[in-house]
Amino acid sequence: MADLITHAALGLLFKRGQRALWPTRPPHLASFSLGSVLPDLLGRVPADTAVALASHGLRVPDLLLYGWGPLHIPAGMVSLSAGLSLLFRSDQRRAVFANLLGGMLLHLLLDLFQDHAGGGYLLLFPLSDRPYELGWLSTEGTLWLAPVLAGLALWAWGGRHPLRRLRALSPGPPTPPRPPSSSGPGPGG
Amino acid sequence: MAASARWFALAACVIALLGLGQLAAVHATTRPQGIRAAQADPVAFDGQGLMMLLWQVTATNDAGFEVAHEGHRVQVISAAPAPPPGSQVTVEGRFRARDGAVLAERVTVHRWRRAKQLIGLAGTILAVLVLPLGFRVEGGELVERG
Repeated sequence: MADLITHAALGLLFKRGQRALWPTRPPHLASFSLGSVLPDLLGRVPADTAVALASHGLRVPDLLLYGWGPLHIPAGMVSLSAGLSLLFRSDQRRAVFANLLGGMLLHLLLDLFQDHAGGGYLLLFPLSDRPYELGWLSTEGTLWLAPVLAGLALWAWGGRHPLRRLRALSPGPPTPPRPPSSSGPGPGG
Repeated sequence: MAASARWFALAACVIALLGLGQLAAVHATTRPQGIRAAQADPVAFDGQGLMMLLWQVTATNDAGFEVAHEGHRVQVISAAPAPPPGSQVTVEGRFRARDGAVLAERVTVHRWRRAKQLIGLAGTILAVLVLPLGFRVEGGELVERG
């Protein structure tokens, strides 16, 4: 897996590109960003914790050691996106589902570039256990990219904090009118 | 979607995820390849190629070094200089049934693993702190801002 900063920054840049192409479309920045980091937050962090406990001699059930893997492959991503989207207001569910899943698939796409010495990702699990990967980057190969992409993402969102911008984009009556100094469009927007 | 149908669909998603998790656990522990399978049936795997991804070096010795992962320990036979204890390595090699060791053919030392873990930790903390700002709760349901 690439590091979480790279995944998040790539998600933000992807959404910036979409906003440049379709300025009037709601960006769903939060759900896409969440999708772009969830495979590691839910699929790796608990698994790494379980492995660390097992390495210290604790008896950890196999489900807790290996059961998180599907959150990092398409079958689990679809189920997770569907489940999470059901927690949202009905008029947002489809868009949240699409953006969560889109963020997760972008995450997986980036990870597929890595080389796990043939380990790869079981993209078709549980139908097939054949691993897939492109093997173009070492597992730490995106480290140098993280600060570059993070800087680019901040710049692309107009030098403003993306989530402050995201709050400003919030629709509905409670949103206060934005002062002229902060309402200028970002690059391409 | 009616409330009951929604909760039914949500339960179906949770069950699907648990089912996938269980399948993955069974797959990981029973597939006929890898060091776990080789240790369970050494004679059948004698001389077979295997790969140990991201194992931690726990000790060095004259024959090579020892690695550990999830409580399993394996001796790696390697003529190359042994990585220092604490290093994360990927070992590709062949299993030797006589002593359960792995004869290394290629050892990759992940020198930047610690840095990656630190960046990952920073990203995790940042995500947990910042991402909730993109949502709010309204009438018991989540609403995305923007």
